[in-house]
Amino acid sequence: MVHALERARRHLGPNGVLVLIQPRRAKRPFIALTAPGQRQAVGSLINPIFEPIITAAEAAVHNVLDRQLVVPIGKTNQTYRVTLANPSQLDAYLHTNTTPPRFPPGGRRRFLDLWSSRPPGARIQVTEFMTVMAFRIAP
Amino acid sequence: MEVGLIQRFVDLRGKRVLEIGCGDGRLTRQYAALAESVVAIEPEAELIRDARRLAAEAKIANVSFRVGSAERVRFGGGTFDIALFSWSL
Repeated sequence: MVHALERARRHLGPNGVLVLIQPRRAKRPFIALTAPGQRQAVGSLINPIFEPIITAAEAAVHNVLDRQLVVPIGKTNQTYRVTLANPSQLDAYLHTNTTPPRFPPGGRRRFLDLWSSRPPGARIQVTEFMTVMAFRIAP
Repeated sequence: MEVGLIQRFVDLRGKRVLEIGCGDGRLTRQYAALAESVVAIEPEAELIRDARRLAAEAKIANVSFRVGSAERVRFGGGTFDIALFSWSL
């Protein structure tokens, strides 16, 4: 990951900016069913390789900062929600990730049980949590 | 959403952008119209095929989608104004 940052930095011109969009360490995608006037929580998804990837990414960022290759511009945490029509759309959405998150054991069954008894007009809501960091390359 | 957050830190308008880990180009399609040009790379060839198809359907013409990774990609130095790691570092 350090090499990826270093190589990206080399491709930048003067005043070039590195922008990183990362999942938030302490938050996992959260699934709920929504319908007019209702919101039924289903639960968080898991991703077993998630934690080491975030740790490695943070270490890579600290590395280039410590070596003064970049200087921080800013960082922000954000939550956003995606609304999907059915479980097939949920699967397609999750598989846009190279390493898609998944339900914990028993979670998918619970989700499908809730979906099968959904109220009229129900949708699937995915809440995602991300961090955006920006750095300017050091002169 | 992501584009708005990026724009808090850097103005994408008229910039040359290198996007690393573009997947099927979901984010790329959102900001391409702002940028001068975009090179978007992704290790998985199947996703690059999808990205090219979806960009063509959206009539986006200033993006070059390429199979590759950040560690191996080779361009001239100082080619880009912004390097964007989209959920990929």
